[in-house]
Amino acid sequence: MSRAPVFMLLLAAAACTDKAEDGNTDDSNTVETSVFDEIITVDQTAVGDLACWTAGADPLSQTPDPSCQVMVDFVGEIEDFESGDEVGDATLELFFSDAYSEGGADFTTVSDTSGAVSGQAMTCTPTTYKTSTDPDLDLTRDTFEAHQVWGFEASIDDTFNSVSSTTYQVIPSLLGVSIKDGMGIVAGTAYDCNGDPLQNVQVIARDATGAYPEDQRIHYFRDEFPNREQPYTSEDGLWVAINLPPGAVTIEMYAWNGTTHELIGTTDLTIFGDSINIANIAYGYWGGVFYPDSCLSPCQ
Amino acid sequence: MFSILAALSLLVTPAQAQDQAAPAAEAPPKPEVKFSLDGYYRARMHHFNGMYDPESWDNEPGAGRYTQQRLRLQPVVAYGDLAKFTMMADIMDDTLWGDNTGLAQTPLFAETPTDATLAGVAGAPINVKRAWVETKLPIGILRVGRQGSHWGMGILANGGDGFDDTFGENHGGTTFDRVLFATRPISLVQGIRGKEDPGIPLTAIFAVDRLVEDPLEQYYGYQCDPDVDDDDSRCDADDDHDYTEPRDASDRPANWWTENDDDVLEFVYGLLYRGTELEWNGEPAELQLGGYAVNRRQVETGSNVWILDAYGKLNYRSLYTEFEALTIQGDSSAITLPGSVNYGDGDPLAKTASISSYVARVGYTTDLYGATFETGFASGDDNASDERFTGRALNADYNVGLLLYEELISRVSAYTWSEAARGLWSGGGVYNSRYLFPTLRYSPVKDWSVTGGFLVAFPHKPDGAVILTDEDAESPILGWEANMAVKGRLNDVVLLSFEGGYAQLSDRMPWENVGVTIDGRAWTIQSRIAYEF
Repeated sequence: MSRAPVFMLLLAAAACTDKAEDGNTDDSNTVETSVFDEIITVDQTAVGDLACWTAGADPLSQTPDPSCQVMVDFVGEIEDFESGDEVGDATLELFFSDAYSEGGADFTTVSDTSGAVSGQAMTCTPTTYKTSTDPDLDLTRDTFEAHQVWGFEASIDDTFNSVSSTTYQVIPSLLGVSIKDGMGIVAGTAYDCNGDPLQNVQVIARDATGAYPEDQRIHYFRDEFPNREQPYTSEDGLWVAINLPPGAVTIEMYAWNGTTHELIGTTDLTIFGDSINIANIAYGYWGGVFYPDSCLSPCQ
Repeated sequence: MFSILAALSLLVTPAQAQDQAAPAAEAPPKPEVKFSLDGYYRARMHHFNGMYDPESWDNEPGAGRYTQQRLRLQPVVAYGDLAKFTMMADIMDDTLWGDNTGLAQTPLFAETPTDATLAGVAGAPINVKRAWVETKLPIGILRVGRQGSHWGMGILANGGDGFDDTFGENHGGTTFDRVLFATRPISLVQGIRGKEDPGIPLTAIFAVDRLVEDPLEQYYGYQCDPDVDDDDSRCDADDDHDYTEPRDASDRPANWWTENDDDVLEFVYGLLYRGTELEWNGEPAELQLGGYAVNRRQVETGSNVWILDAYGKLNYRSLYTEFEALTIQGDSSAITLPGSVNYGDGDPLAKTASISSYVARVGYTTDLYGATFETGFASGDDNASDERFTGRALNADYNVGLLLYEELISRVSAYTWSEAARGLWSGGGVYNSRYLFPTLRYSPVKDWSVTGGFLVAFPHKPDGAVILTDEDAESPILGWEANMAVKGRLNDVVLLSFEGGYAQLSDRMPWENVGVTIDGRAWTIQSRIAYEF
């Protein structure tokens, strides 16, 4: 959380003050305008619980109680993202406070043949995990899940996703996108105030320079399956951004209010080439970190 | 043609059968049992340049060489002209030269080559691919067993036999477990009427193929997940499966073969006029014209697909024309792709097939030279995940050029679809495109020829992944390729071929993303030596 609030505030300020009518922040750059206009086209108002925040207001914020941030034991299983099959001999790395862009995991373990892993993790602390297997075998792609927050519990039991190389290649292909070598993929869910999928919103990636990468391709799902005909989030809230450049990116989420596109949430990520990052965006939140209720009051 | 037709000279008419069945004053001599051996040995050397990921090896970026070999033995046991048994086995089936499975602990000391194939793993040392029995009947001919299938120019069913391509090599070969009956209907009717056989070479065939007895991929057609509150009455509380589930043979119950709804069968109907020795105005002529229909069915997936294929060939004086055109129409829920189902309340896996392809040639040929213009088409699918299934590559053994289809598009499609959707690979066949392929041949001496060709391919339905759409590409073509081949025969039985090709991909092909070439260009030199039995 060290850098995120500053960046989030900058984004929030930009969203509140400088944003052009079409939602773009830099009208002087025609390419920028073109990329934004090509991608953010939703003309249906968002469907979901939007009561917790009003577009244009300061982003929602949460502060976990420090007493809830403790190291506890965890057990879990590394599973294939698509099939649910266990992934054995896979490396799991945990990066506490989402500090995964610098490398150097806070905790590393390797799954057994049944995909089982165990160790220690921090509660109520934004954590990014990474799963990987022997790159020479090319069975899986490095899979990140950013901004994971486990609630205050005596122990953690969770599942860690691993995306196979075949899934990594075939899903974009089904969506009509050729994956560019060295680029990355981000997939996630748009959530409303109630934590339910948010329908009729769109996302776009902005790189560290503030530009919208031209090569990015955004697609959405229907019934939890990728669907190239779906122009914005359906009832499942799922989206995927393909061909994102390595480095820091912010995924911005936009909704249509009847006259303009409004920025309604973001998540900040670091993209690694030829990898996939799973991250979610919640309505009204900037940065992509949201805490369970168990983290927000003093813990025993 | 159907390879069965080569044996149709054995066909007897009912009148002839009556003659044979007539009592004789003395017992006719028993037919002689003859043994013969067909087949070939071939070695094919390949050199590629400009291909593959240039970052893989830094000593000679983008270059690679290998040599493949195959020994094909096809022994035939014939009982006179009444019956015969044929077997086809490939020994060293496209194995690579050298010890590539580590028989020698120190490669420098390797002396005994092994059986690795281009896939990088050891292949079967002996691969028995076909075995069938063929017998005359009073009204036709019956062939039963695992047998090759070839029709027309081979864009659908291609037996992959012999050396029938100017450029490239046959590596596969359509094979079915089949019961086939062939007859000459006009001769049959005339025989029944007691009249003389007019000798019209019209042949009708009917065949039944068993494609699958029990698929290893278990089909359900619906999902069950005990972790999800699902009211699907087909799911028990602890059922947990996707629309289809992979399994291995140990998962099969003892009576696995008694489940019939998962069987895949096809019924083949064919009618062919095969006038190969005609004489028109005192000139030799050849006319072939036929139709071929296949009905493929599987009950549990609601599959009912028809393939209709027409073929024609005309040789008269120095003019040469040949065509094959086909369409595939029908419904099926058998085509499953990961992460892809239909949206809505209907069958999530239902697809309607609507596929078409054709190849046509026209040419002027003499013993000294020839000029041929060929065009072909394989329909594509711009959205493999929707309910319409419209793409299918031509048979991979129908070779067009050496690089564009055979190597480059093949590798792009394989990379794009990965192992998860292997059925969408082009396999080296003409894929989602139209092409033009004029060739010129010059034969200065008997058994030797020089052929040059120029291939250009145009996309049909860009899908955004294998072939980029207008959003990402500007070129109207997929690419072009120039080819040259020198072919000859030594000592009657030794075939030589030296072939080369240079290809340039356009921005329609995502070669940068796939790493299939260094800069969109590639060239190859290949040679073959073969001994034909």
